[in-house]
Amino acid sequence: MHDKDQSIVDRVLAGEKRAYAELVDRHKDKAMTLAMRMLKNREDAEEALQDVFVRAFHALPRFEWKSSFSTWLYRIVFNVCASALARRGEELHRSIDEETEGETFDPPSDLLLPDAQYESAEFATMVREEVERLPSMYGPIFTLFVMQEMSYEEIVNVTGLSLSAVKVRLFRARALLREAVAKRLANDIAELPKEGVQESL
Amino acid sequence: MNHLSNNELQSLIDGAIMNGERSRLMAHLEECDRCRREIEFHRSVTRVARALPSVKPSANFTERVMTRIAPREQSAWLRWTLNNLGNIFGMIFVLGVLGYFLTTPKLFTFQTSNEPSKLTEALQTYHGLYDNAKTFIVGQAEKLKGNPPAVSAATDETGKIPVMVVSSLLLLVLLDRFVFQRISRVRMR
Ligand SMILES: [Zn+2]
Repeated sequence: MHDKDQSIVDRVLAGEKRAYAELVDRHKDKAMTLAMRMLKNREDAEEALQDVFVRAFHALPRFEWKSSFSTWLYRIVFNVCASALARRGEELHRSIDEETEGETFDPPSDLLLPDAQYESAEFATMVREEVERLPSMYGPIFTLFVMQEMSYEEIVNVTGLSLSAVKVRLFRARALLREAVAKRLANDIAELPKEGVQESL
Repeated sequence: MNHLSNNELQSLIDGAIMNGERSRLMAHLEECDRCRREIEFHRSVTRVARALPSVKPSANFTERVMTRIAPREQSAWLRWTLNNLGNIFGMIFVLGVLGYFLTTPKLFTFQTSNEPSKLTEALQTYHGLYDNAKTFIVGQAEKLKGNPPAVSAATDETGKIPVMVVSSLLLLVLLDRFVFQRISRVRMR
């Protein structure tokens, strides 16, 4: 994985510009997912991502392999999208209250989790929709950690947030998902008598 | 009974729990259905989210990036031609106008007075030379084609309109190149 990226980068730096297309192809989907979590609409995300790959190309000679190529690329995605959000008037780095870790968390919600089937397709749909709905503050962190399987430290590297801020945001993302999905699961159970109608839909 | 804090919950979900903490938390989970469900829920969300498909950019995405970073190399002469388009058109224009007037000697024929002036004499000499040359060239051309020599070369009127149109277009390009662009360059400074 890492080696493959490196050999492509070497070819690009040796003057084979067209090889960069391979690098774009390898990373565009995951980078697009991250951009979507931040900007929330396809056109903006794709436009930002165009800029990202153009910038990355020009910055390639200065890339020193202190991190993997994808971590480095995601940092550019994060910065470009943060600027786009700022232009829209949305602030990504909010107050400093989240920079302090831990004790002030809300206790787990009173909305109890039902004994639901977490293997079902409905559950997967709920999770997908609610992940897409996460605010720009939290969605990207959740995506980096869960979907891109990055460590806390790598996310610190990508976002420039402190370690505690990363943990807090990750937890808030999870809490939001939990609330939203629990609510939907509870509604589904409340609608159980109407199950026949639902199935016909 | 104290339920797990969010922090502890997250550490358990991510498997990032300190050894000393671990036994205490596990003991709580043994007897607390609620916290166990929380953990089970979050692990399921993580598992499902991990399997979600990525969002794909549109099909020509990579091609668009590549056009921006490595536009197809133009050949050297094409680049030179494009850069010097104004000069080239200007030159063609001048040649066109010159050619038009030189091949249409009758344009020069104007009466100023009854007495032939030096200018009129010069023009008449030019007309004579031109007619001779034309007859000669046309004759040679016809001979080359194998046709009998023709006297008439009545092509003076044909081809004038296209020459005029092209000349006007070229004039515009020339103006743009040498006047307007220069003005805007001065303004930018
Ligand atoms: Zn508990």
